[in-house]
Amino acid sequence: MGVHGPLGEFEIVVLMAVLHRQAEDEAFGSAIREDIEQRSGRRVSRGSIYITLDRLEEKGLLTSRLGDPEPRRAGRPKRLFRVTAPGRRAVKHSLALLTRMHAGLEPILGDLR
Amino acid sequence: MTRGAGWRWLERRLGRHLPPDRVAPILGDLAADHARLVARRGRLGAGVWLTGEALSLVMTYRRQPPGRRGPVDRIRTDVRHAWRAMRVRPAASLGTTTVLAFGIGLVSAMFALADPYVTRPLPFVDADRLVTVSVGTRETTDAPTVEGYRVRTDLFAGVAAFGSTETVTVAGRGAAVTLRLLPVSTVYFEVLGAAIPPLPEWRRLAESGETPVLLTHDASRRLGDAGRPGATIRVTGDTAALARGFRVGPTLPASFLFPSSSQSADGFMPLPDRAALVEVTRTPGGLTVAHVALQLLARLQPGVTIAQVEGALTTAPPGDMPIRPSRGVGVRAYGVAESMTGRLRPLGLAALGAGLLVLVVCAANVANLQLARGAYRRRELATREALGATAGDLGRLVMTEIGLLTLAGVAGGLGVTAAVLALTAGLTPPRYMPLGAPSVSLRVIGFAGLAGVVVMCAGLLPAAAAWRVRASALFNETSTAEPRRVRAARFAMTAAQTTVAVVLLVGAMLMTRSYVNLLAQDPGYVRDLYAVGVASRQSQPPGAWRPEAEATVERLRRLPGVSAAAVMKGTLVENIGFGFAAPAVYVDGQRVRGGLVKSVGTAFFQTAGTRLHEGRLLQPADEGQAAVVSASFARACCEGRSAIGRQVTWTERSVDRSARIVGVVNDVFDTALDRTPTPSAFVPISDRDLSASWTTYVVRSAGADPALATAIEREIHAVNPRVAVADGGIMRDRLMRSIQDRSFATLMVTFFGAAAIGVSAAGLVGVVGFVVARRTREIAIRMAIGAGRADVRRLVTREAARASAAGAGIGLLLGAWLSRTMESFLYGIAPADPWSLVLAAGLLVLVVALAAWVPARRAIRLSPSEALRIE
Repeated sequence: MGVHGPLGEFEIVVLMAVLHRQAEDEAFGSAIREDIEQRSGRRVSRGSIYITLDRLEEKGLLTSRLGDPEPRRAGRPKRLFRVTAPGRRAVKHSLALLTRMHAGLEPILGDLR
Repeated sequence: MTRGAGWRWLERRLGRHLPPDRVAPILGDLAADHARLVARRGRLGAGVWLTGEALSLVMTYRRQPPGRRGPVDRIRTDVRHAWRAMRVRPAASLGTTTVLAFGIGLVSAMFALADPYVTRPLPFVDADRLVTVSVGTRETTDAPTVEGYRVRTDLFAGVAAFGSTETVTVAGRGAAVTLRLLPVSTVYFEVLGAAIPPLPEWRRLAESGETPVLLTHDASRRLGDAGRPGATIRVTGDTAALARGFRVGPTLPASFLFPSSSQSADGFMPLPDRAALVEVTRTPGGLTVAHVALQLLARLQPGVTIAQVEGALTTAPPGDMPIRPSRGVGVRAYGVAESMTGRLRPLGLAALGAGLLVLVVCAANVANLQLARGAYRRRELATREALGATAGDLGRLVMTEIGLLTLAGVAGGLGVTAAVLALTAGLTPPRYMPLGAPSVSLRVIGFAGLAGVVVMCAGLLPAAAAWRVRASALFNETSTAEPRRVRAARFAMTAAQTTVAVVLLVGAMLMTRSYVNLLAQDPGYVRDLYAVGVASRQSQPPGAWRPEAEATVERLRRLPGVSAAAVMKGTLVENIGFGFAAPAVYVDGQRVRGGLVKSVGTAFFQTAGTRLHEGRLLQPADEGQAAVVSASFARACCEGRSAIGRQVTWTERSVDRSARIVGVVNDVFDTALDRTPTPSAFVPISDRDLSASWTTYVVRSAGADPALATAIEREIHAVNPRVAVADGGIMRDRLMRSIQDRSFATLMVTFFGAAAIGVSAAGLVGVVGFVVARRTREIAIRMAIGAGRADVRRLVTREAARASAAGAGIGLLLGAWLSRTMESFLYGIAPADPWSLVLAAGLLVLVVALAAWVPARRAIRLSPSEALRIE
């Protein structure tokens, strides 16, 4: 399971959103929130995103760095996140657990899409 | 765009929860999103959206744990959590606070009592070099004035003189006020080294020929306007020289301290520097009498000792130094600091030591309470850790709770200190407080705070060691049993506090039994005997004393209610040593070491109620022939054989005298009740008793009559109006005054013993109560399967009983060993007296049984179903 115990649902969602965005070096607060809203179809509060990102960073599942200040951001930098190796392992483990739990439930749950 | 008031507000609010490098990216994200929305919805719509987002952000962060907040918020939150934790278990919190308050209060009170004599320096510069010098009249031949000693710069860095207090009467606020003024040299305060601002003005007035007076703060207040600086007032006093005005000088500060009781007064007046040390008067009978009018206050040169001063100034042969300058011979110097504090320093140290012992008991008690509290909070703290609290967060939370308990304990402790000081002020003899009554000063408050911190730290350490929290380990635990180290720590704390309590209890038992032995002994006279001393002011004509004494006794016998009266030459009870060498006393040629011969009326023993051991009492026909001796005299002279019929001889005024011993009576206590009475031979008053500087009349009356003292004084003055009547009182009161030191020491030791055992008992209640609470389910199950009340009682009290037994055993051994240091305080019993140890052990067993009884009773009364519901 890992040192930090099981991840919550929202934590897995945020980690996966960061994985989506980090390839383009665009894994910052607003972008992550936008990604989650687009993929999940539900609204997510800004504050919960930032708080979860901070918590995941404290657990060592994410790292962050400050980008360069940008004029369109009123001269403020972005805080860019990346998933760490333990973070990747935590996501994979959580997904594998769900997959194992899901096995044999297809007739009941049907298509998940 | 982001410089408006709204942005600044948002930046400030987020800044309460996040560091600046976290706030800036969030504001940047908002700014970028806002800019995109302005293009789509317009300024108004974007503004509404931005307001909603900002409020949502702020509300979200407000709900976060305290770790994200600033220092002030963190402290506020910690205090709130600590207060909540204390309210969850009010009994435990109140118990800890009470024990803390009691221990801190007691030790702080002892610090307040001991501080002036042990730690606080006297308010004089280099107080160790100050001495009071008494000079014999014959020693002043070469140096009749103060100046003669001032020139001895090899010995003294400064010399001042002071005389006897003069009593004056001045008009105060409405009524006349009597003041005692001490004549002192103008350099007195410089020599003393006291920091007094008004000195230069006083010296100037004194040197200009005026008579300025420095009044104490209290005297100035009593005089009111008449005592204000600059006022001139008329006085009348005992001396004609004072029947003139004097100028009131500046008032002494309220904190001014007199260097000795003989130099204590309502104020100071100047003494001419050329005043003579000796005054010569002529009696009506033509005798020339010299007496020393002034004493010296001197500051020694560095490196000069008191022995050097006495050796350099006295003319008495070496080895012949009397206790006081006597018959004009000898110079004695007394250290001021030693006189003010030396006598009381051992008592202060003992009081402080006893208080610290009680504090040790309290610390052990607090440790036990913290161990119990740790048991209840393990899961809470582990849960907090699982939710993200760091070790620092948990430590800060626990320390905040500890700090609140300490603050409450110190505050309560200062209340206990004030109460103890108020109580001891009423019971402490005034001579134990020459530096003033102790009070709750800033030093005492600081000491109380330090004691609180030390006790809490001492109590916290075992709990911290025992209850190391690891969340993952806790949630994996299948057993709810206590760790072994916790049980061991609790056993050690309980045993330690019992040990200390028993040591104090042994001391209290020894002192109390000594005191009872002391009070139970026969002092040689009935305790309600009334005795009054009479001093002759002037030399009597030879042969006048006996007729006067007999006439006085006759008048006293005729007073209403008086059943008997008698006379004794000299004093009946002395509390000071004699300054003269008594004539040697012999029995059958062998000297009786320490023996004294006393002249008494033949009715003395019947009046005093002295018990006869052997032979008979004195009769009128025994004049000049017979003597009755005390039991200690008989033991000293005759080594176990009968003293009856032996011849006692002595020399009085160069005349050899003798008498045959006809009786042996009980010892008559003539110093203090706890001092060996002087081996005495009593002879009837005869015509050879020409005069006496001091006479004692003893009176036995039917009942306590408040007017008796007045009536006795009236009858004495009816025979001789020139004598001074002093020191009258019931012998019972005199005896109790003679053992005031011992009474006070016994009271204090007993008080500390009771305090220690009381705190131990409170600790035991806590320990047994904790065991009951922790094992409630086990008790229920045992009762359900047939365990009886005795079994349950044994189960819950076993741990406390074992720890108490171990502590008591060690305490009795330690107490027996330490009691050797108390040998000088004991009377009639030896150190490590077995009965005292048995009584101490018995009292401890009783206290332990009572302390365990209440919580055990609660356990016995639980019904199994109720007990299972509680868990």
